[in-house]
Amino acid sequence: MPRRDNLFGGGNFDAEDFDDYNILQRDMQVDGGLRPVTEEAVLAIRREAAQAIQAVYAELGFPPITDAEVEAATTGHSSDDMPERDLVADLAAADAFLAGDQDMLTVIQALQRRGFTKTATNILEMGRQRIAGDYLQPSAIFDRDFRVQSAINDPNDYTGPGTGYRVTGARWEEIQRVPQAKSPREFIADQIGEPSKRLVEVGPAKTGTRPEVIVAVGPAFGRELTKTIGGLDHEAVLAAILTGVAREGLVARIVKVKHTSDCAAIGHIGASLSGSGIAIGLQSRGTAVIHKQGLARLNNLELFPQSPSLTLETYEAIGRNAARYALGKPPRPVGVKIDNWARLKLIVKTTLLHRRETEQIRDEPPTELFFDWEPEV
Amino acid sequence: MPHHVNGDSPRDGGYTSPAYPLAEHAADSLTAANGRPLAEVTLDAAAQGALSADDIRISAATLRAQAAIARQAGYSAVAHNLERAAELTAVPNAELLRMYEQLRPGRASEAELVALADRLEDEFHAPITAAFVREATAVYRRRNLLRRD
Repeated sequence: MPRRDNLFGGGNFDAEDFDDYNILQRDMQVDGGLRPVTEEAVLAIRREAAQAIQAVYAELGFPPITDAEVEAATTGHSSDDMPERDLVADLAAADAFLAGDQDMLTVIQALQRRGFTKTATNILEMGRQRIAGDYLQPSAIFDRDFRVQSAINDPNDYTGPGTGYRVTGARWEEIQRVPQAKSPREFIADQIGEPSKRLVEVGPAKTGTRPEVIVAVGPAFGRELTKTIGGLDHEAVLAAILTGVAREGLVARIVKVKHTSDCAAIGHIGASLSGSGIAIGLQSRGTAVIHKQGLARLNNLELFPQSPSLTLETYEAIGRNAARYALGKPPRPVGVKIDNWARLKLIVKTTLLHRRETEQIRDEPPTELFFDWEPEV
Repeated sequence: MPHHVNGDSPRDGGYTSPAYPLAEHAADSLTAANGRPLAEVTLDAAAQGALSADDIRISAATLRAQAAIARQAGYSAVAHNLERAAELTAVPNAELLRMYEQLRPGRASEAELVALADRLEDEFHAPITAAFVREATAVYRRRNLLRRD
């Protein structure tokens, strides 16, 4: 539990890091000592712990702990979520406890009287272990049954990569059982809808001869993927681009590229088919490029790499600019929102979307797409 | 058992004492500081108020057994530490805290530390700890950690 009120332990690792750490343990196959748990299990153990402390406070005559405090300690995220207490009274009780002759055994008695047998047994076991002193040896820990493992009975046997402790067996299975783990499919569920009925493949793409803009889309466009990473419907994106082109008085053809999922390559192929030599390359996740015939594949006129930030207005502006290039007019700057967190937040989703698009690659030439849409202009 | 690869120090491979952990292999013979057998330190006894602090305190003999285990495994510094601990079981807690305070930097004069060492040796029969305090006294003098009056 993050402790905002801790004057001493300015720790930089608390429960807010556990989710990340569980994933690191799993993905790097290391044992960091953390155990994935369910929310129910955490709530149960926290409630029991808070009730045990409440009982000990009551038995020892400390300032009472209310049921509301127990509830807050059970469900609270950090110490900020705990109700205010009379700290002066708590400190006075602590002073009295330290000055008196009550000790660990008093606490054990209190717990046992109130029915917290398991906790009483555990605390007494700590006392019993003091009698044996096995834990005084180097690198000693207790396992969950209070058996000591230390450098004496479990010495370091690391002698280089591949030796020493390797997480295997039941512990490895446990590390992998992260309750909140999602399947890769769930990450991109929003991008997979009903295949577009307004987009129909009508045969091999021909090379154009008149002024036009080609909109070249990726192999999953409108079918295996139906929305951009920003949640824009593929049909709406196409309509926005075509509207932009139409506003400049030009027409656009749509082609689907089958044999690559690479944005630059898609735009490059589109440009080679375009009567004006200008094409917009559009990946299914929304990344766009304006390409021109004769440019190297990885070169371009304009690149819009931050697909999550692109809006329908942006796509319309991209369409307009492509048309202006085709007509030999100067382009206008396309405003794009910059989100420095996008890469960090969406890297997994981006990778999965790219994978899905790449899975659709076929060794086939581009096809012409008919889009059932009329411009409003 | 892991292989003893480096070989230059026993702690790399580890000699395992057959008695360790004592709580598993010597539970029947373990007794607390006051002589009560471990087997009598039960939840029932605790719940009835039949136990006192000395019933859950380690004995000098057990600390010496742990020291021997540490030494056998090559941890001589840990062994020394546990041997001093065995000696110090004879010193009451409040007394021990006063000694601890005296050993903080700038708390005691040389004469006071010498007196502390003598007292450990004569009154508490703690020669190893006494030698340790004498060694500390020399180091404190050299590093200017004695009390300046």
